[in-house]
Amino acid sequence: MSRNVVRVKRGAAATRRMWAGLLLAAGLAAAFGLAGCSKKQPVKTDPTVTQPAAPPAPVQVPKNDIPVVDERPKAEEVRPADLGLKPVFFDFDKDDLSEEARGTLAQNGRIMKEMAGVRVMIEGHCDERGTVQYNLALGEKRARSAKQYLADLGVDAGHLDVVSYGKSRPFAPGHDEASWAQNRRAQFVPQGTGH
Amino acid sequence: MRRPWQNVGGDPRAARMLAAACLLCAAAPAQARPAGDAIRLGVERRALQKVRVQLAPLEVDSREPRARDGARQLAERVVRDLHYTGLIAVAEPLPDGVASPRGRAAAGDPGDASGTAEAFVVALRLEGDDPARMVWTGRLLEPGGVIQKAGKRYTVDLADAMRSAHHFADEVVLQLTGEPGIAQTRVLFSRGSGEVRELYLVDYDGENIRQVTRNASLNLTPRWSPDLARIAYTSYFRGRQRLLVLDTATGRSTRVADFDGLNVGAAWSPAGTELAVTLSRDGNAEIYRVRPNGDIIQRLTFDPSIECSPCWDPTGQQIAFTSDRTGSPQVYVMDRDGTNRRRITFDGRYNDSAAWSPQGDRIAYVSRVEGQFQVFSVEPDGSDVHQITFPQERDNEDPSWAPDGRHLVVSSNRSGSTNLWVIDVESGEARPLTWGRAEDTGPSWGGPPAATARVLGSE
Repeated sequence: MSRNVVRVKRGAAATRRMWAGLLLAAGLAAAFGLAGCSKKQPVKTDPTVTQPAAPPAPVQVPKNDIPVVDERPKAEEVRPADLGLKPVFFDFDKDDLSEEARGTLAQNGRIMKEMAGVRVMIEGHCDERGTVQYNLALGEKRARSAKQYLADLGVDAGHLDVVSYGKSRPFAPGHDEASWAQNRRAQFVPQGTGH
Repeated sequence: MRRPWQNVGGDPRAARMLAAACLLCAAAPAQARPAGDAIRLGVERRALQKVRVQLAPLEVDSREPRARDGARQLAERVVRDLHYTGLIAVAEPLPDGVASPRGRAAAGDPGDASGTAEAFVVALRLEGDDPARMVWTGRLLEPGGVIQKAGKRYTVDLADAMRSAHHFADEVVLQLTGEPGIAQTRVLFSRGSGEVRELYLVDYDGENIRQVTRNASLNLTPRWSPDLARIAYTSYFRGRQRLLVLDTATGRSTRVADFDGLNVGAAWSPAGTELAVTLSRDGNAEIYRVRPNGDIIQRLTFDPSIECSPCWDPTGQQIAFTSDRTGSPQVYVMDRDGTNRRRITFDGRYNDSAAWSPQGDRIAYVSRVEGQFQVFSVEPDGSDVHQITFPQERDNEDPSWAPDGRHLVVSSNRSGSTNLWVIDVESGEARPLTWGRAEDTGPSWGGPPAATARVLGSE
């Protein structure tokens, strides 16, 4: 319904209450009565015309921006050398260790025991085929499976952390099995001793 | 809201078979389609009766030389917003200088609005001589153009007037459809590749992309809190994976979960008082309920398999999630305390990424079909599976619902690079939301700004 039409009817009703029985020429009188009652409103000669209607109340539309906080590291973080630790690779949607992977882990384990005290972050990764969240969980399973095997070989599990990157940090950029095979991996990143 | 495939006699499976047949016939490669054009799926769907709107000639009363251009831009934005609802058709011819929205319905289409007899009228008037303080009035008039249904007035800087156009469009949508519009909503997502992915924000129409985080690390799976005051996300800031909550008023993040292993998959409860998350602190990926301050309320799953990707139903009583306990990832639903678990996806060997519609009637999810990932939806009881994206659109992941329950934003590589696309699940039409070579993933579609909801409620 038009605001104006509503307002005119309301005004007319009030007018009728005020002047009931006194005015006979209702149409014309109501129009003047409205103008008289509703202090300083512009005179409307024809109440059915709604163009232009009374201006609507102004609306403030909020901006809703989010401040950006710069948290970038001040200096490039220096990573220690890889100490010769090699990645191990997995089959599609699998976290079990192949014969080859166990061989690689045995070598990695020897290095870690020689470098006693060095913390190592085991990163789990997936290939691009899969959803973000399930791949994060799968990558974590791969990293944990490597951690468990290293612990079984006698490496201090207290110095091994796991993190999953899912499919977000592929090693090889291609979209074929050759790249995917390199991307389904666990990587071993020394963190230094003071971490 | 009504779903066409629930209300018509036609079998949705027939439509899917037709789509498959169209695909077999289509000889043209998918890449031939130019990015940026709306895409019509080869699916026969119910002819939607759109509400018809006619745009009145623009009124400009100003000595400012840019005023006419400004009015035209406001009108274009309003027309585009109405078109994007999928429920409203803006009649041709548009006033001089106002362009049709990209990909609007062709003449002869059931939703076409040629002929203006039944059309509501939208009238825009811009006045004032100071470009920093122009006043514009938008009116919605009943068919015939005499009786006013709604009106809004805005004082705007001509250079920054588009938010007011969205606000007016939402008012028109509310008046014409009875449901709130989504023209003022925004989508959060993760952008970047390799070592650095930052969170970004984009308006629902693809405008105003801006950065939210700046920490030069990986930032994934952002999720709006229901009141838009906070954003939960997973960050690898300083090499550790943590679950953080960012306060949108200050831009500062605080820690929610920082355990060895997984700290991912945060989903806000509808009340915004707690999060469902995936942690592996007890040995493998399980679902927990935690408070935004990090307190663990309850562990919900106890299985040697992977449990992940939690999402709440809009009442907060149930949680959908993924489990590979049967040997392949599938979507399940459980009560909020972890009991009463039931499986809801049975087709295919890889289903994940459940997203419960805001109306509660559908769950969108991602399914691997012949090596590609496609978006489907299903009733919360596992019935009435409906395919939303098809092989010619390559991979489609990470569905997130618009507040209207009609549109989904997905991450798709259909144009060659991974970007966000908005899909109208009723008509099947899709439009790109983001462009460019950086990978855009993990979208989260937020509700209308709270302050705006207050303004709407007050008039």
